[in-house]
Amino acid sequence: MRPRRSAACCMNVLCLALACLAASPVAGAAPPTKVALKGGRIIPVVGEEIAKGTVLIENGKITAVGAEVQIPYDAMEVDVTGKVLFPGMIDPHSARGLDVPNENVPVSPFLNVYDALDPSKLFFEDSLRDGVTTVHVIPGNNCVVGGVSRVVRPIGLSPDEMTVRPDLALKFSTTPRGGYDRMAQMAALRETFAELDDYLGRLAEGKYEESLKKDDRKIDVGPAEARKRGQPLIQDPDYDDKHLNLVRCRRGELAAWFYCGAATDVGPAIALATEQKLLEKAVFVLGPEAYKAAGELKKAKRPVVLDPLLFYRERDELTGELKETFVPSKIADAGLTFALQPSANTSMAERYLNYEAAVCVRNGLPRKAALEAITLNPATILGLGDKLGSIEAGKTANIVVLSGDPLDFASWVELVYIDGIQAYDRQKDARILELLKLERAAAEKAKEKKAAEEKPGAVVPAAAGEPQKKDGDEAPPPVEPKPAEPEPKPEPKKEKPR
Amino acid sequence: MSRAFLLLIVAMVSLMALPPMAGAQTSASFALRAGRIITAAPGQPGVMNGGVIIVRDGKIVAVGTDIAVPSDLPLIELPDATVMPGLVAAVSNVGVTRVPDESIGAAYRASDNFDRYADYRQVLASGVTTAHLSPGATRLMSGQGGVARLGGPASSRVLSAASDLTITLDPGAYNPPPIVEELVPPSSDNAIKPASAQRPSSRIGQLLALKEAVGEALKPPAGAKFDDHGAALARAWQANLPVRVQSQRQADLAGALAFLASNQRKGYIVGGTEAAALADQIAGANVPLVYTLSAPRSSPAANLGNDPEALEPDLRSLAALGRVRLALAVAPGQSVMGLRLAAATALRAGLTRERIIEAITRVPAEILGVADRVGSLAPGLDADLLVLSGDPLETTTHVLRVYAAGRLAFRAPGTDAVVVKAGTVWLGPDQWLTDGSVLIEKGKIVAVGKHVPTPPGASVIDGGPGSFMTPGLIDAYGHLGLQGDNTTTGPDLSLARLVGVADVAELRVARAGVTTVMVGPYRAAQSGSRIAAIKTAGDRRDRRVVSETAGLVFDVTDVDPASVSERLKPRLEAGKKYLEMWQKYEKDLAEWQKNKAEGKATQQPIGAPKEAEETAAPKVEDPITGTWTARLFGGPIRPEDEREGKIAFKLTGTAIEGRVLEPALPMDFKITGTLDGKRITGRLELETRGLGYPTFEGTIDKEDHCSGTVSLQGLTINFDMRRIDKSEVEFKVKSTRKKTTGKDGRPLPPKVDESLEPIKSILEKRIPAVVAATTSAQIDAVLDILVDQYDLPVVLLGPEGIEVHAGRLAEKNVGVVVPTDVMRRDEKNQWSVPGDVLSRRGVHVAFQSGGEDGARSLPMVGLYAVERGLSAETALAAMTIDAARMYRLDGRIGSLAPGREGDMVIFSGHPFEAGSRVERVIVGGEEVKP
Repeated sequence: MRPRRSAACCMNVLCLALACLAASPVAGAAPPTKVALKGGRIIPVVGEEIAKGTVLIENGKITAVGAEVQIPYDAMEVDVTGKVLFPGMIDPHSARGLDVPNENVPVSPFLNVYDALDPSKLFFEDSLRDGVTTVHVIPGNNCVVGGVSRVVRPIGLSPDEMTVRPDLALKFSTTPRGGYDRMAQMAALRETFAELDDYLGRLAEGKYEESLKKDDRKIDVGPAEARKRGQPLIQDPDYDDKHLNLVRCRRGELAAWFYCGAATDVGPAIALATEQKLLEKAVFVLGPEAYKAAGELKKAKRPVVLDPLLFYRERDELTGELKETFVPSKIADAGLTFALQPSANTSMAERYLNYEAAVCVRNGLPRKAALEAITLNPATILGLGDKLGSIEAGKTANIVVLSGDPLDFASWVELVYIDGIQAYDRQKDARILELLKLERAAAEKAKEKKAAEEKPGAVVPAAAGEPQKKDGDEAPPPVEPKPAEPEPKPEPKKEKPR
Repeated sequence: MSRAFLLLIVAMVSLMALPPMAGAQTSASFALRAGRIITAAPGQPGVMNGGVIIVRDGKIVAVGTDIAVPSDLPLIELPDATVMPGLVAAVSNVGVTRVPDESIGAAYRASDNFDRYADYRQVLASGVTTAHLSPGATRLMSGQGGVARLGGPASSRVLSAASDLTITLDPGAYNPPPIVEELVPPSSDNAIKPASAQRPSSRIGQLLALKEAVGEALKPPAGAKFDDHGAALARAWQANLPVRVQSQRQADLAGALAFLASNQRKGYIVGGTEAAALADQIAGANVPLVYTLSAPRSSPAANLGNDPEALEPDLRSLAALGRVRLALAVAPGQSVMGLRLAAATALRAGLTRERIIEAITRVPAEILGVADRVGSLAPGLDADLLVLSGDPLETTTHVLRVYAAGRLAFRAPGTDAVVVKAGTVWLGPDQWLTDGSVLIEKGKIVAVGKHVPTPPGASVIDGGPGSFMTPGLIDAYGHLGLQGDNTTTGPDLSLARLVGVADVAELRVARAGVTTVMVGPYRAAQSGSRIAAIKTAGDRRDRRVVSETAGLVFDVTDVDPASVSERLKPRLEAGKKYLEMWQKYEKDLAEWQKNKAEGKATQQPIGAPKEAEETAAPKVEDPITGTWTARLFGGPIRPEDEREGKIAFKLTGTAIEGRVLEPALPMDFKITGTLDGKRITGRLELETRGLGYPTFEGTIDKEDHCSGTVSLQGLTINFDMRRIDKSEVEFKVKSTRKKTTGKDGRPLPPKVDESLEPIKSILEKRIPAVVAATTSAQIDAVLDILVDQYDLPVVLLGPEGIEVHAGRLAEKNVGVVVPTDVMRRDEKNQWSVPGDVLSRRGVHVAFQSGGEDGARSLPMVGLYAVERGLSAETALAAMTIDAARMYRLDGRIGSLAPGREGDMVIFSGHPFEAGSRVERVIVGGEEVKP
């Protein structure tokens, strides 16, 4: 067996190598500037659904959506009859574009995901396959101050090519970082800003002294006054790496994203954001239990990103009774704007955004709210609501063509358009095709093996318990796996180790 | 047919509605009336009896005894509970996690560690509602402490985010770990620094280290790196945050006092095991002390061994702290849940109750700086209330409820255990307990004594010191529940079938203290009528019926004394035969079982009695036997619901037996009846949960055709039957008993005859024969036959002029239920009480109401009897244990002893003192609402 297995391994590696080559999405001739996707059912998220309509894309932007759209003569027509057009989904919070979610240093505002973003990560390829056209890459939750994030599209050969919006947010966490407790976590957060103030004071003092030095004067006022006078003299290059991003965050150039793993972490996060004047651009990334603080979040009037685990389970302290809460319902009841995020570490269905939306609908959320939670809401939360999140004239042409309704788990992604360019085509997805081929071969092999086992003894193919056939009615052969149809059901897309 | 019929039954049964669910109380505004209130407010020591607390939006608005309850607030009545402020734990382990490395860690705030959304009901259940949040006890300056409430809305839980600067002067804080600084930003320009050692390492260095830390914080050296802890210390120092010094030993305590004095800081000391030696200095410096009590809750304390330096906690040292402002807490590391009991042990040191209670409520709240929010019950404070089952320092007291910020935060899980206490517990004639109590579980008395067990969550009903508890009173003969219906009931029917949820009339009797009534019909049948023992309160039939058949009453008041024997004897003879049949069966069964056990079981039937064999009825002309198609219509059956079915009937003599063949029914029942010429009457042997059996009657109007009605509880439907087959149908289950032995030779029991069952019981001496007789001659005749001839238990009901028989009655142990009119004019025209005369000659007497809810005046009747000479003790015994004994129910009711029913009455004094009134009535462990 040993040599055969290694031969199979070689085959796999070869196939994967080929697949990687083929997966490069924007190879070949320059893409057409005008594309018309016609005949599909359009779910625009904003506005009424169109049963059969056309989306016209010009120069990467949607220019017309409707049942009756005049298609220019020079547009490339793509017939999507019977398919569903849905806005590209948005992953609002992910560290998977990075090699590790967090650096070891707890307070690291000087880090930027730009330095670690790896375009060749299979995660981006999977995102495309799952219909995600925008990813917010941000440091993980295990930090005090994490680093600066970036919004990217899952295509491109370099971080610059991928970038939709550079330097969007700075990550904070009020939930204890591993090895610390809440007391230490909060002390570290407060220290970060107290130290910043101290640094800014000293810097201002130094700048004032420097400005006097030019005129050969000595410092003539007390430190407090010197700090006040030095304040306007500070230029951006004067800040050191450690403090620059905190200053940018205070100035509103960077949003403040707070991770609140538990309900009790929400209050301190809101208090800190308010105290440091970061609340206006704050977003709260919640753990499952944090829904209990929905009241506090409602007062803060800021959007939230929910945990991939949509159910919160706990035991009653006295009776031991298990209580289960569906988190999105509680958040929706509080009237909060929320986005769903796919699970990073499960092979289960929670890694698909549209599945999570379907779970929401199943648990009582309106369909509109569930669909918005994976498209328009994350776009708004990322500050890109005017560009992304819906199929509307004027918006960026990020469109997913699905084989069926987005909330039907049997639907799969057929085509993905990003900026009006076809970024993904399932028919050309070598990895999926190869995977299916291998599975077919395995099924074939299993069938042969079964037949070989049955042959020596069995003469009658029918099983003993099978009902008698009626005369003249040719019964179908005994149940067996059907040879794969041209369109097989969607397979779980597994990441193969390289 | 089946559906229609089932509809009928369902409609009838569904009349019994379920009680509505009680709504959960969630509002933070309410009024609470409690038996006792301990406010712990300054200048208000002691206990307030019967006070009211008004709470609005989570705050106390008013507390007092003479406060009108506003009409817009729900009133919570807790007449047996003691309400006090929630306990304040000045030392707690709530929220403690990891100890940071820094010896001076002033920037750490313990309140950050507190989970505002966590469920602290386990702690609340111990009575602690407020806890100090500690930043640690193993660093010189651990950080800033906080204070939190352990329940209520999350936003209101942190009472103080920074309440103190926590300092530990103790060997436990020596030798903190060295500090390693992180390299931020990590670069080659940043050299790795060696770990820097920290102080203190000895007692001599701890105060010095503190002094330096404070000095550097207030005046940072020029050009020094930013120090967050220094900055935090400076802020706390400038804000004059109280200093909390945690010390146990005399030397450290002295250092603590010196530190506070030299820096002119306000603060307090926690610990103080050796404080007794410094009591005067502590009191003189006006520094409060939180004395920590070592009271390990679940396992014994740590071993001290031979170390002469070991700290030995000694409660007696508390006695020396007379002038010190004192709060009590559990030792650090021990569970805060032991606070209440640990504080109660301070009674051993001679502390007063008032001082102990304020030492775990108001004083710690003042020390922690939250006395304007919690710690006492006064207007303006948060409604953190503790509802206790008794005195807070009593061992057996439990927390019943906790209100946090006016919201119900904990409620003891409901148990059906009830502890009833009274100043005097009457156990029987001339037998009583002073300050006794009774534990009732599942409606039955479990324990009686001076100190009964008090399970957690048990509700406590306390009559108070002057109260007098007796067993529930018994009406020895009445008609409660008959509602004027004077139908005669036969010996086969128990009046217990009338019992449902206690109604207004029944509760009226219960509230008068009468908890059991021996219910018999207004007119007894010639063959006797059953007497049922019924409780006057309760909502469950099975709990209300003490005995379905407590006696069989015969009425010979209008019988010629010479004919009394004729009236009673045939029944007794029939009963005797019936009893013999059963005794034989039991003997056979015992023998069979013995044989079987010895392996000698035989297939031979043992003594098959011939008279039980079925004699074939002559089938000359049989208008019944065969299969019939039947149609039910009319009444509540809608035309579209009409169904046809098939019924098989069989005629044996004049007895009809039938079964429904079609449609298939969910239950198998038989139809029994009799044929009388052309008329058939009978009933459907169908279990209808106490509604009786549906009856039918009809006429065979022509050959093979019959029509008539089926009725149940006044509802009537018509039927119409046609015979389609005359051949006999074999039923699966035979009703007529042909065999006396089962397949394995096991003897089968004889048929139960409901009308002879009570006679059997009398012959077995399990119930008495109750005979209503008036004249002396009648009584003579009754006693002749029942007592002398048959030697049966007898109770005489309402006899007149019975004193002449007193000797005979006492000798034969015949009970007498005195006439409803307890007083009688004797031949000298003097009022006398026959009961008195009888009881003095050793005859047991009991009282009857002879009415329905008129039974409520029974205790009053007793009072008149006492006025006329009956001893109060005898009157009480007559209404309790003696009445129960007459009916052979003394194992169930009539006394207070383990195993008896939980029925009792609490009077304000002895029940037969004119000034005593009924205070509380408990039936089956549940209090009857006034």
